[in-house]
Amino acid sequence: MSSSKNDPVSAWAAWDRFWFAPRSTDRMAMIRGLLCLVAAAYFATCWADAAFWYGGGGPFSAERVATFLRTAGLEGAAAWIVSPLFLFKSAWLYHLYLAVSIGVAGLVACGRGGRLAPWALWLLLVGWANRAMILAGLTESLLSLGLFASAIAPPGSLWAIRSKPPRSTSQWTAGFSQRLLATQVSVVLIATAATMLAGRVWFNGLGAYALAAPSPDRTIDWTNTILLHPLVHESLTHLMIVSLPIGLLMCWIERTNRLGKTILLLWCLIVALLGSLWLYAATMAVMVMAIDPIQKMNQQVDRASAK
Amino acid sequence: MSAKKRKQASRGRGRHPASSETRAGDDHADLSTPTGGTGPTPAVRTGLSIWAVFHLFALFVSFVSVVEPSSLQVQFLSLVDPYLTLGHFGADDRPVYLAHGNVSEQPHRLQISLDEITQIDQIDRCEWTTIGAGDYEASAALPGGAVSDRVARWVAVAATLAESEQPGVVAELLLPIARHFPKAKAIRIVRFPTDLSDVTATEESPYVARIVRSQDTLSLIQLTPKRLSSRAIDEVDGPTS
Repeated sequence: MSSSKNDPVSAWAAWDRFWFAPRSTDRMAMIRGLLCLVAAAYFATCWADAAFWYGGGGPFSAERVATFLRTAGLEGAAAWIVSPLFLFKSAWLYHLYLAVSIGVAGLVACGRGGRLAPWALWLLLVGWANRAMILAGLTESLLSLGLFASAIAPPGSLWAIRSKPPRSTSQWTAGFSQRLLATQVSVVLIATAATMLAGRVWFNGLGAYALAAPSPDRTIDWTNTILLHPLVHESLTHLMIVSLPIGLLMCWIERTNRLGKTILLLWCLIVALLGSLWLYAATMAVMVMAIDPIQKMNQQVDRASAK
Repeated sequence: MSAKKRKQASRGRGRHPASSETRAGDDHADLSTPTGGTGPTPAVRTGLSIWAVFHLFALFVSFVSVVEPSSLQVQFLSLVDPYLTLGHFGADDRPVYLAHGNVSEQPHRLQISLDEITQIDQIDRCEWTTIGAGDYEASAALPGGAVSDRVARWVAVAATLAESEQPGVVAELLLPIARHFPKAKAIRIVRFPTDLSDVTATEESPYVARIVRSQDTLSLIQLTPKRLSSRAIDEVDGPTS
């Protein structure tokens, strides 16, 4: 009877199915493996300037941070910024931390280290990001969200999905992990669109140009290229702002899932190219791959139940 | 039902045979043992459901609060701040919006000078050298790369603090640079205009300081433009007899 779809029991069942239906462990292993590669790249980029920031006498050395927080009156607010790195003073220990982190990222990508390694990797990233304080950007937050959600899934290697014959199993932790990753990236993308619209550049057509405008801070200087033409940057601005909600909506619908993902991946590519937000865009792109339409999961459960 | 609709319906069933047969009565589908492992217990499901709602809501509020948060948002964020900070989940006022064309998004650089400076109007007479991270040379970092991003973030935060009239906090951020260059006599943050800036805009210095060294102390004295002041009229006029 159709009325059963509206009663609280069926709503709970739909919720239950959304979050706790079993999913392929290999799929999440692949997504987590890709996140590990981005995390390894992130840690590698920290190598060059770690000694400058955190070494003895550096702008963010432990003693300077303490003085800075005291002067700024932020001691209370900083009470929750927890990191083991605040105990380290020598630059080589920071390099050792980075080397271990890259190693753990590699292990997790290869499916080694059991269930503990992905959690260790997440903790290593949080420890580093919290230590970086104001030096940390959005990449660190996205990576933390991604690694946290993917650590819930059972271990597996990045390339397990391509193994023949397939060895995939379905587990509810893989399903919960994938749904958490997908809902997180959806929330972030909705918030991104909403906050973009709070600035007038995303209405008057200058948004894409504003992203590229600080050219000395960009890897590729687009300011004296075709982007200067109003038709180009205004079209790009409107496309960027429209493609976010539409692409996201399409991702959650079975028929349009692939097209939606393609739109969002293109959005990530444009953001990376214009704003030089390379690691941010890479993390976002990997997280977008976790969005599976609601119907697809229902069908999987239905098939499993029918067996 | 028309023939066309019947054809569409049968095509739909052909694509998803299992779902069409079981969807009507499967709202309580047993999720426990489909192809491997058992599902979580009802208590775990309830606990995880409550946590997921809380987590996603906290995330959403944190990410949308980067643009003028309401007092309600601020209150909520102060409650969930320990959770978001411990896991490094929050946006924490970072530019989620990518670009708004604000001054804080303009390129900022940290520069030192070996020339003595006592007044802010002398800054154009000095020779300035731009400082970066790593080996302390700005040119060492790839523009738009992670290293130059961190330097840009650091200098932009210092500029914002300087404009909020917190010179003591800015000095804490910049003192290590002054210490690293023992011959430097002045330090400044310079902000460059972009193509989106006003046509008359030129580079500006939100923070300029003189480096004062004594035997065992080092301090930065911020140089600010002289402010116009006025005296009370009766003082100017002098006492009347």
